[in-house]
Amino acid sequence: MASHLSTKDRLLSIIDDMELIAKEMIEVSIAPKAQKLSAADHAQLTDLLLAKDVELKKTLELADEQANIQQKMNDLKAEVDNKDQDIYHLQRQLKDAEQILATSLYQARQKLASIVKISASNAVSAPLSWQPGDPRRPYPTDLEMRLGMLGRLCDLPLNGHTPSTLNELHRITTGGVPASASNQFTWHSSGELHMTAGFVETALWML
Amino acid sequence: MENNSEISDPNNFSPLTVQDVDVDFLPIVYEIIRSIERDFHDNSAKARESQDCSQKVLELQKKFDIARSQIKRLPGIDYNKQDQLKQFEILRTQLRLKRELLQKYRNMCSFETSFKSII
Repeated sequence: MASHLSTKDRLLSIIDDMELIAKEMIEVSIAPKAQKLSAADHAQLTDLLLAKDVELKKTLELADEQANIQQKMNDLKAEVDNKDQDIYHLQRQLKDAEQILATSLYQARQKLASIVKISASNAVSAPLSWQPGDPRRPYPTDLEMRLGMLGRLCDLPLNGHTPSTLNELHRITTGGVPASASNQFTWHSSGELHMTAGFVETALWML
Repeated sequence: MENNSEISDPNNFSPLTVQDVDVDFLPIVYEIIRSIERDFHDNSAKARESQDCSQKVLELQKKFDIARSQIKRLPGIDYNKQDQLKQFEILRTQLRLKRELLQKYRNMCSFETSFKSII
């Protein structure tokens, strides 16, 4: 028996053989006496049919075993399909997470770039080596102070006297104490401009 | 046997079990040959027996055909046992690998745990 044949083909082939043998036996029985087979030949045909019957029953037992294996395979297949689904969902979630992380990373890099840019202009804190007279310092700068409300105060008429410099304005607001008396930090960024720490406090309060 | 017609229906392709397959050919073959070889003195009895006999031959033919269609409906016999077992093994390996893959994903370092370790 060729073992490469499928069990189904083997069963069908045994049935074909049995059909052929049975037909042969019936035809031989019907045939006229002269054409009849000898008893030995007839017995041989009968034995062959019986042997085929035994083979058929054995192969059916094998088919039964294979049906059981098939059942187990179906269970395994169902479980494999289940795992496939799990893996698919997990991969989709990982893909989503990757997308979100990539976006966040891009935004974080942009933010970091802006932070570096702001820090580089000393807008937030003065450099560690800052010395009086160093223009590298946080906001507001002299220029911005002058453009702000305090700067415009110079234009307001005060008791008929218009203060032309911040020094005069300081004298007015601090009750005539000269600026140099309470001068702690003097920034010489524009030559004639003197600013005291006390004045900065007043200016900030006014703002 | 109430579902006998369903079992023998050649147009039905739902799976059967081996126990459902009718392969009892030998009794019919025996009956046919016995009735052929029986000697009748009465001609009418002989004619009746001959009719019976041809009926049984048709029945045998039908039985073979039904057995063929039933065998085609048996599950798991599209391969021989050796090849079937190979496929079984392949499926088992697949399942094991997929389980391992999922386990690997599950044991992956999550952000939560890495944050905790930093703190």
